Amino acid sequence: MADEKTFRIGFIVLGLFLLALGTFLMSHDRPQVYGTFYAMGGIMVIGGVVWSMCQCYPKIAFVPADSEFQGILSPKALGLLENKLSTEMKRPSPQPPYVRLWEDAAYDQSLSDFTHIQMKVMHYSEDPRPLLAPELGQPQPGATDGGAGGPVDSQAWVEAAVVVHRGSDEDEGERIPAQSRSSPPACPQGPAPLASFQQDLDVGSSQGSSPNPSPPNGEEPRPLPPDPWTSKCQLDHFQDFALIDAPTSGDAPPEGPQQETVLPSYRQWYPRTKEEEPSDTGVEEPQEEDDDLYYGLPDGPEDPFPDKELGFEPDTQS
Amino acid sequence: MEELVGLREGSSGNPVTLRELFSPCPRIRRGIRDGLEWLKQKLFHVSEDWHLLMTLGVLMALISYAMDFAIGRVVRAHQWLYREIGDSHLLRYLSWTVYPVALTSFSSGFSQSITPFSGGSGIPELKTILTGVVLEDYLDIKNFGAKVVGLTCTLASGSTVFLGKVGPFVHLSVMMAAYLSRVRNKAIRESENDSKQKEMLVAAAAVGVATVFAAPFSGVLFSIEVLSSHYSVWDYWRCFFAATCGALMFRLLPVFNSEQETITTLFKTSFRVDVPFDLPEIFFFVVLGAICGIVSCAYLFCQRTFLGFIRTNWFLSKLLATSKPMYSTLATLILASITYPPGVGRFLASRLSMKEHLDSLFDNNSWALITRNSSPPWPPEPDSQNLWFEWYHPRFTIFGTLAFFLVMKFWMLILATTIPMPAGYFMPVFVFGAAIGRLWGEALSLAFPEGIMAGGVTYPIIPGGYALAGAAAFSGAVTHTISTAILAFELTGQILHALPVLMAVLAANAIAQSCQASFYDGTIIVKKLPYLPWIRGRGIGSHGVIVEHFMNCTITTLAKDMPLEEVVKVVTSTDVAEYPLVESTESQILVGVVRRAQLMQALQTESPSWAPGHQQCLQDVLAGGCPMEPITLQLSPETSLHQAHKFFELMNLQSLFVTSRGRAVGFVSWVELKKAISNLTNPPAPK
Repeated sequence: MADEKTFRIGFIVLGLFLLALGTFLMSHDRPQVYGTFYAMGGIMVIGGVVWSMCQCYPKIAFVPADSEFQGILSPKALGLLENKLSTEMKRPSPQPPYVRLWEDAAYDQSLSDFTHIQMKVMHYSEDPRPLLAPELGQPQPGATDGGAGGPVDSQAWVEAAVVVHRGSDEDEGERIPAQSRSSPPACPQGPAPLASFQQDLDVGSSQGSSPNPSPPNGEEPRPLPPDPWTSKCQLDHFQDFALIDAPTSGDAPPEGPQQETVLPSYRQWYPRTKEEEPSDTGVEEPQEEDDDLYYGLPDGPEDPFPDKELGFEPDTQS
Repeated sequence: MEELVGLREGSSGNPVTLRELFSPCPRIRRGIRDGLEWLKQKLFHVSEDWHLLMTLGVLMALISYAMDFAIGRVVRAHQWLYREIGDSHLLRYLSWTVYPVALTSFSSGFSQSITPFSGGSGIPELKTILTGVVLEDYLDIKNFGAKVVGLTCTLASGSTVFLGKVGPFVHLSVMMAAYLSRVRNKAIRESENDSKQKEMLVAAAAVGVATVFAAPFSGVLFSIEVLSSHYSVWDYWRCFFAATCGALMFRLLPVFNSEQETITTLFKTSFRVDVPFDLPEIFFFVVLGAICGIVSCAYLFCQRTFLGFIRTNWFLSKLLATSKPMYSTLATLILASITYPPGVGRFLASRLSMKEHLDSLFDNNSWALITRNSSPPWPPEPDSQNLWFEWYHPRFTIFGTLAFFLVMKFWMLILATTIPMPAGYFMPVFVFGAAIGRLWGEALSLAFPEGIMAGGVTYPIIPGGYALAGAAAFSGAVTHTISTAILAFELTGQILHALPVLMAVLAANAIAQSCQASFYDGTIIVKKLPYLPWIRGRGIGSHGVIVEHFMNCTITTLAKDMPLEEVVKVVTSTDVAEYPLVESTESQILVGVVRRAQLMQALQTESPSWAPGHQQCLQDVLAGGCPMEPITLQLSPETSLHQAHKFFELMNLQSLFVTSRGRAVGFVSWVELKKAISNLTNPPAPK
């Protein structure tokens, strides 16, 4: 929440400013003046500090555990997946459905239909990045019921990342970013590159995950209206709360090496997708307007596009 | 962000987020959260935002006062240094020049390092923002600190650099208003509402001007005149409310600080109350207005030319591009060397600060008459009771000093406006106009020593009144506003000169508006900001121009039944931002608008679920997830230019499609409108 952070900092800065002003307005025959300033400034500083400290609570990340991942999707399934994604994006969810705890991700709902979940409690800093890697595959074979899929899943998860990475070198790799881009058009225009990255992650993961074909996902009641499905999800949560305490130990070590393997592959993949897109269309769209409408500052830094309709274009400012 | 919810085993009730499950002291937290919810409901009620306006006014007043306080301290330190440094000329010169040089270079370096948007006044960009153009990051809160620090340093250089406070302060208050409305949207979880935010921004502009001068009326009117092309009366009370809160707080703070006993005006004048001026003097006021208008045309022309020269000259633009502080240093060095008091500065009254300039120019004595017989001394320090002694030189008299001041400050001010640091350009223009008025008043007072009306009771001419009129007229002509007249009254409390000052302002505006673009419009032109100009030349011919004459007929439409290969060909061969979507290739009925980026993304997702035999067309892609925006407003080819222009201005539009009987026939955007308007004023030569 970059916004909330600026609000917290602004609150504290305002409190300090009031304190400083109260110090300068010190006049002995009017103590109520600087008293008021001190009081307000002190309240704001203390409130802001307490608020900031409350932000550092432990966050909980859910890890999809087992065999619900599909194999290499059949085209039909992929199409259904796409439709599902698009419909999921389009409808507003009435209750908070099961999603992963990172920001701004209208998340892939198909992955959320797990009867067995694994959870990992970890400390959360403001940066959502560390959430990405540790979510991937915490192999806890003993902890869950669907244990057969556990280590395989995590392996497959890491492999998924690698597959995506390699896949993007070939033509086939274009499918993957292409498919993942089916979801963003239906999404609201958020931070577009980051959104597509995370959804690429999701679709890539769902594709490259464990080879078990997923009957639950296939028979997943897509024709059903969404509400029963999400409430079913929540019931699943409540059943599995007994598992909360289980996977807390021994999770930290496997994280480490996987982090390194996973993150660089994403980073290498991500800029490539951005370059692929213009080469796909074959036409670069500089979107330069005429000189009259060009927001020009005299020097150095590039001029941002003034028209808000154009502001969406990634990487076209040159 | 969506969160997981859960329940403790065995507990009933609503599921709470997992964060709360595992956090300590759940009851206290719940209590605090309920309390905050209640507070939030009270504070951020959906339809009321008067508390936000009040907060904005009070905050900006606090910031303005704190800045004035800091500036006052720095200036006092500089004066102390200059006084204590001794008699060596070199040391005194160094102490006079190094101070402003260091401050301005720090100001430009610091503010430019944080953001390039922090330089200059900020009002031209705000004007473009309020017409609906989005300038990325211009209202970001991180520019706030940069601009405050930069502005404080600029103003601490004092009258050496001769710059003011209004422009950047308006920018600061608009930034603060955008920030507060984001807080509000976050608190009540409402998505950004453009019209509500625009109301806040307009009110913030009024607050900015009002808290600089502690003048609510002129604050609101000045912000209306300078920043808006159309103003809705709905915003009126909000602007006044916020401006009054700000002005009141700004006037209360010196009282709290025991600097003043009660709320008074910023510049005290003691003009004669019963007969402030004689009737024939109105003619001279109007002539003064005309003179101010002519001088303002010259000033605007020179300023714009010099700004363009700076940008195009190879050496200067390179210097500005590589090292802005170096340019500021050089410019300030020139300015400080000229205003060095034992040197040329003696003739410029350079020991006075900006406020003292105005105080001395509004003096109610007639200097010409006093100095005809006696010769006041030049005190080692400016005498606060008789500040006008600074203007007197035994050989040149006040006329020489005033004339020299006008000539030198003309180009020095133009040079100072090009320094890339946050600075306002209204106050120096105000002071310059006051000097013009004073010179004219002194000349009149010398020409008519006994007053104009002969016989009976004589009322000598008060040049201070002319200084007031000159200040209002010149600044009004430069900014193309009338509300500077009201500003003059609010600053001095002198409303008795209302009519002559207003007539002078009108005369100056009449001349300036017919010859030159205003100061801020000129900056928009030079910086090439996107802006829709007015329609000038409202002659007979302009009413016959209709949209059909100037619309862009070459539009590429995408039909719903177009095969995909053709769609791809069209999309790749053109590069407009959005495509009009028509029902079918024959009918060309306009049904919507498709954005290029989304269309390309949708095209790339080759969905395998389409039946192989079916000819894929655009309809499928659209159904597959590319959103189509509906058409809400359209033009007709018979719409006149004036109607279209007014439509664009009122609704803050950037472009519209033209449809005739439903068929999409053309496209009108600012480019076409500007071309049509320029063809009106400068008709192209007939072939």
